[in-house]
Amino acid sequence: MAKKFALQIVTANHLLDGNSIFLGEDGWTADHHAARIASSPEAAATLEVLALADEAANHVVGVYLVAVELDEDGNPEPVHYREKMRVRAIPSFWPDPVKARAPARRRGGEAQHVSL
Amino acid sequence: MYRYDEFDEQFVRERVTQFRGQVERRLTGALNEDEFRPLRLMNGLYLQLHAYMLRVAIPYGTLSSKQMRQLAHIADVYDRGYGHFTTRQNIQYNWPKLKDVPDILNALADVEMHAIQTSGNCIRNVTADPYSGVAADEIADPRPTCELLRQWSSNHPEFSFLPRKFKIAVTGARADRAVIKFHDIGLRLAQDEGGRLGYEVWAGGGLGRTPMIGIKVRDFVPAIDLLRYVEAIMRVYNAEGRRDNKYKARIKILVHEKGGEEFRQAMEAEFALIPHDETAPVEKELRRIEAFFSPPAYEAVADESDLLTKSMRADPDFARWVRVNTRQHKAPGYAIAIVSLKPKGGAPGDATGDEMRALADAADQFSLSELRVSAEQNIVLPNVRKSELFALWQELRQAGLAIANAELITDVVACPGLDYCTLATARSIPIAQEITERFAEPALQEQIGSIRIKISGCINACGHHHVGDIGILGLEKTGAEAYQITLGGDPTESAAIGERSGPGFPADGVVDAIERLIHFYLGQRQDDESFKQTYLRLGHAVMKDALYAAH
Repeated sequence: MAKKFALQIVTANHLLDGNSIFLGEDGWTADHHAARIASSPEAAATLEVLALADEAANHVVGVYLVAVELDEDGNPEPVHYREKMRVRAIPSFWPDPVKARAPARRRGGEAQHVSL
Repeated sequence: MYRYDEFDEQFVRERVTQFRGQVERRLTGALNEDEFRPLRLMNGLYLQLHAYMLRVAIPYGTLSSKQMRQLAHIADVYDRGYGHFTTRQNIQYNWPKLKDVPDILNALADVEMHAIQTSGNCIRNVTADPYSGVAADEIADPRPTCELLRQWSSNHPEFSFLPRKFKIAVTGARADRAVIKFHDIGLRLAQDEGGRLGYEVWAGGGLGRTPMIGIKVRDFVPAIDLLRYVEAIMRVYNAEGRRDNKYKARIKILVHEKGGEEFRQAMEAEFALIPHDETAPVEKELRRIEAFFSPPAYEAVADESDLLTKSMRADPDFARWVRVNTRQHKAPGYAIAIVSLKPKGGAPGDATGDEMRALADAADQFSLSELRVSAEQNIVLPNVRKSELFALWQELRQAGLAIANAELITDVVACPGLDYCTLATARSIPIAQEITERFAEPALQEQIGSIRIKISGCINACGHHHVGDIGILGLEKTGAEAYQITLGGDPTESAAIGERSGPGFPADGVVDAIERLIHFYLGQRQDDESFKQTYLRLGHAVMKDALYAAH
């Protein structure tokens, strides 16, 4: 029996600052909850192609698909612990959302969408 | 300390200009990532889990107070207010923006520093004993050798595209604090029967997925022949090292597959081909470099300090810090002071900009403006008068840096792990933090005594877990982090690779297991036995059982 398809989102790093970003409906976003979700292998392939086009256009680097599942609010959350840590955008031992001495990144505070 | 000459200055500035152009072309899209990656790596710039990371070399672990202040400035202006000191005497910035990196490199060049060859398949930052030049057990200062090797290997056309990265460490002392037996080439300064200075040469050591202790390839190479000899080793490696398999490409695989004797023969044959007349300029340059490292004018003071004795009697916390964090200096009346970067609950090796400035100030006031970085991810103040240790300790305490745990159980070495690193399979820092909290009690730490706990977040072993008395390797097991423990490793002259103990522990069980083992050791040790001595006496199986007792 074929393995059940896992929902996927597509991620990369922003060329300018290296931050983790996700392809959303209106472009790349730092918020993985706003990422476009592919619910079939074909949709995942399409998502990846779109992302790779931005890589070819030198906006992002290191495109790859991330398996997700939906939380109770319907938001995509990564399945694997590595990706769970990556979407947090800061080390796991820093107080959420930001470390006191590292005020640079505040989820929800700064513009959610990354202009390219 | 070494000071750049015009050539050094021009070389480093030109590299900054080149990299600025490369970044500009990357940002306009003239270079794609495949084209840009090797260029950024040659300048120490990685792309990590959350951001770019810039690795800056601290040649042979020596820093002036001015350089330390500049590192603080870079942390504050271009990063998030801190940096991470590594086991190979580098500092890593975890959040630089690509467009800022040329400016950072320029700021480094302002204080005669750079990030050249801190990545890539080339000769990396040459490391040294952190007590170089001041250790009581030293034959000679290894840093002129390191500087000579740095200059020789920088942009060396023949050795810029090796099969894999190449690491060299040098010590001048009997005790090995530079981990030379686990380097691609390890050098120990030695004297021949006639009193001539030279080197004992080790090659083929390394950690990573295939840990190996280096073999001694020569008892003695005269100082004047060093570069010829290193060149011979590099040539054999460059020609015969495997390029077909990244995991078998380090020199250790070549040395051990070929066999020590055959490797030695190949190397000696190569050595014989390199003309002797190349040595004259080397000797001249070595003399020039050595002049920069002539010992400072130590004051003629008594070895014992009444002030120190009195202060220790009056303040037990200070007395503990002196017992634990100071080491014997070669000059009477002076001490080597270790500033631990392992606070309770902290990330090993991290220092904030403010802490770096406090260290620079302390160096100016108490250590002839000099600092060192150790393979244990701590800072060393190499030249402190014993009579000023109390004043130094008070300053450090003000800055939160008077942590009395050097070489004790909470002086944990840890790689950045999955909290930063894209290669990691598990987190390292949270395990280190839990250990520093579990064993926080200072009296307990002193009771346990000297013990090395080293943690790596993947098999690449940046946290040197193979050479910890207790090594912890973070892996992935069925979709979760798991930690495998090795016992009996040793990075020093009595080098040993830790033996794997058995199935891994889950993240929430690993520190409990270590605590069981430590209590077992405390119950079993005889007299003043160290952990390693007890381990060797009782054997691996007995110690391993203690680790798993509750399973």
